[in-house]
Amino acid sequence: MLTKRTSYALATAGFMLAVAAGLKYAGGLGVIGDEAVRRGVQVMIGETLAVYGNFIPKDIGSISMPVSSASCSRSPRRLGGWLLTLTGVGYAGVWAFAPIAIANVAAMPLLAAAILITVGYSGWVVLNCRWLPRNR
Amino acid sequence: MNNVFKALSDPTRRRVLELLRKGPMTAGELSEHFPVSKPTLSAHFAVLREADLIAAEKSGKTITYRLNLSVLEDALLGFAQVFGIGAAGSPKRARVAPVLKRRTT
Repeated sequence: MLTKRTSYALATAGFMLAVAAGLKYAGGLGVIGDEAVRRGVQVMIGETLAVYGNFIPKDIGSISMPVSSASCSRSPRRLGGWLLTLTGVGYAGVWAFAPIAIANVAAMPLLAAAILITVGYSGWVVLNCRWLPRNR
Repeated sequence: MNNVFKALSDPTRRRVLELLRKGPMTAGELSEHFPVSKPTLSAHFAVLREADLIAAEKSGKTITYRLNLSVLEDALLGFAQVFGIGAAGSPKRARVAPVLKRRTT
C-alpha cells in the first residue's frame, strides 16, 4: 500500500520522465532544437526542486514529526525548504534565460551551495540537539 | 488553497501562527495571548487545522499545536502580515500604513 508521499514521488518521477521523453521526441522530429530540449529538461528539474523544496517544512500524510522532536527539526526543515525552493527557481531561471555557456557554469554550483548549506546546518542542529540536556 | 487564504485572512489566526513560530504551544498557552474566549479561539484553531497550517497532538487533556507551513504558505503569511490583510487595526498595519501613505503622496 502506497503512502501519500510515495504516490506523490512516483507521480512526479513519471511526469519528469514523460516531459523529458516528450522534449527529446520533439527534438528528434525537428520541432525544437537541441538547445531547447536541454533548456526544457533543466528548467523542469529546477521547477521540480522548487516544488519539493516547498513541501520540505510541511508534514504530508502519515509521516509527521512528533512535538517532542519538532523543535530540533523545525529550523533545518524551514531553512532547507526555503533554500531549495529559491535555488530551484533560480536554477530554472538561469537555464530558461541565461546564455547556455553561463547556465552550464552557474546553475550547478548554485544547487551545490544550497545543498551543502542545508546539509551542514542540519548536521549542526542535530549535533546540538543530541548534546543538549534532556530537560530542554 | 481557498482554505489557506481564508485562514490567513484573519489577524488573530495570523498571530497564532506567529506565536507558533517560536515553538509548539499548548492551547492554554496560546489563549493567554488573546483577549477572546476559549471557544472562539478553538474555532480559529479549527480553521487553521482545516487549512493544514497547524498540526495538533493530544496528550491526555492537553492539545499541543505546532506550525505546519510549506514555503509558499510561509511567504503568504509574511505577505499578509506586512500588508495587514484582514480586519483593520492590527498592530503591523498601524505601523506599515503611514509608511505606505507617505510613499504614495
